[in-house]
Amino acid sequence: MDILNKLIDGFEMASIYALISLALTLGANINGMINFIMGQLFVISIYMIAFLCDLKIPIIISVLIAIAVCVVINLLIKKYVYDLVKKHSQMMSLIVSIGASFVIQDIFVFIFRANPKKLFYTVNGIYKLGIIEINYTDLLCLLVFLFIMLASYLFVKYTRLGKIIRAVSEDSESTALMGIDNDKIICFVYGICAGLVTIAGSFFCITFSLVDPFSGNMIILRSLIGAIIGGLGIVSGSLSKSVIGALCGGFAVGLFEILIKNYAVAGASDIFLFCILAVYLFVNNKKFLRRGKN
Amino acid sequence: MTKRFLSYKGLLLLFGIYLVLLVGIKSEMINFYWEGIFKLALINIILVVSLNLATGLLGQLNLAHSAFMAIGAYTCVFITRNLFFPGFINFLFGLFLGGMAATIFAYLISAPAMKIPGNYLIIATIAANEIIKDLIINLNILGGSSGIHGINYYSNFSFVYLIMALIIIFIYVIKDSKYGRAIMCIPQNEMLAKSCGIDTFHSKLFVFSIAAFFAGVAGGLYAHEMTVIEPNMFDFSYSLELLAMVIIGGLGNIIGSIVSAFIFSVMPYVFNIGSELKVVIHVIMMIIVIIFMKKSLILDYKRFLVDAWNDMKKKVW
Repeated sequence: MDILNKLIDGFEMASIYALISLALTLGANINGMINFIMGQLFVISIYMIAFLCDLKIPIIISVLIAIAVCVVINLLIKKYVYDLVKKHSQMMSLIVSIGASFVIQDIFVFIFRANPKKLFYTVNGIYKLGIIEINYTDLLCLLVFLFIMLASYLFVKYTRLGKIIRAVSEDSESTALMGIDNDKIICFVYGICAGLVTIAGSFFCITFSLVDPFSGNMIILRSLIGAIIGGLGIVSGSLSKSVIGALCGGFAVGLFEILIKNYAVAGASDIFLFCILAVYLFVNNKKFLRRGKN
Repeated sequence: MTKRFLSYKGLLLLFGIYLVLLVGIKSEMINFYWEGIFKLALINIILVVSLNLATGLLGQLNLAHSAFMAIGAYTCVFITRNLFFPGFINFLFGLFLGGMAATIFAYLISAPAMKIPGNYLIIATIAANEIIKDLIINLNILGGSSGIHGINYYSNFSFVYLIMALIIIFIYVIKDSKYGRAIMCIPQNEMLAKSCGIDTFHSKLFVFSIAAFFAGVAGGLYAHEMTVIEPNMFDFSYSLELLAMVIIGGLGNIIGSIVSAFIFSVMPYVFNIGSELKVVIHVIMMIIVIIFMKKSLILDYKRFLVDAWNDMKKKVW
């Protein structure tokens, strides 16, 4: 059917939104503030992967190098900016992270200029399953998305490190009393978030053929909507449900965008998404107050 | 600082600065380029002072201010083109009705928005800003993505300065009145304010709507100054720049926000930095200010600079 094919075409963007939503949710649950830098890290990772692949370095190694660079940038910003504003309220941390994302964007534009960069790494090829046609890239994105959903759920729920992460996100004072180094765990989770964002960047590389430094702005806003609708501030204390919720929320935002773009007014998908977010926040406002600390 | 500005010294200062700048413009010492930059600075001052009213006196940061400016700008242009009065009176109607349109919109979104905790209010206001910007881009009556060109040039320097002076005086009148002093209690301890008989809900709505009115008026002035408006400049990064100017000046501190708005509007043109690093400089300054700010400094604005200087000295030594 036509609608199925269009939805399947949207899997690439949907899985990009899902991975960035997961990165935002993990970072927000563990540190208490939403990390807006992810949008700019996404763009930086795309530029890095494209640059390294242009030098004929194999794609796996270039993705690993991009992961390393993004993790370093994320941890530097965390150490020198976020930790210093923790003494204020959560509002100030959020404004600082929005400001930091604009600062990184402008420094990037200043160094590398705002010209769009061409990407040559799209893979063409279609699988046919009956009446459904799936691109190679759609299949890859879908499989990686399902793998990450399964892996992150099992990791958070059943491993020891996952238990520690859940504990730190629920009550970091008690975990400090139990002898867990909160800062190391937060840095570890920030590293995972940067890695997820880099994988999303690699999806962008194989899907699109043009990137400019301003692509990250709208993508992170839509991923944030996916994360909030997936239960960012509400499902506090159960990280495993937040993980599934963030991934599904991001994926749903991607599919919704494809549906609105194809079957309703073309440029209005953003308006619908933001209206849904506004209505959601207005209706659910009582559930955002966390019990306990913060 | 509360009573002093409205006394003769403050008004004399306003009028004195006006005379100095007017003499400079009329005698061609300040040429047309710098006159435009000063007018943009005055419009930014109106926006920053009204945002200071909405955030500093309420204790909640909101990033929807450039949406109110956009509504005011587009309404004003629509009215100056279509109403039947002679030129300048059209403009006055346009400014007033632009402000009223922005106020109506703010009133509609502020009632549910006041109940959202501050952390998510920022995201809700970003959403409101982007909704307005995307609506303007998508509605073809409003010119679409390329905006409106060829607007009449109605705002000369004296008029913009007069409007700015009236708005500053009005904000001081609000702030120093019994009502204003009651509103200043709200961010400190809302429960206590409520139990003292202050209607916090309607006070918050009122302050938010008044701030949106001034933003709408500033939008109308902006449209007729630049003669071209396009929806892409009214996104939430401009709101973030305004909020940065407010935070650097001090939340609740009106003279501080006037000074910081003027400095950050004029500075990129003085140092020829160009548009690439303009956002970086004042956002970096905002981040530095927040890092060094003492924790409960929402209304303790007078000692901010002294405390920040002492903090920096302690960290350096």
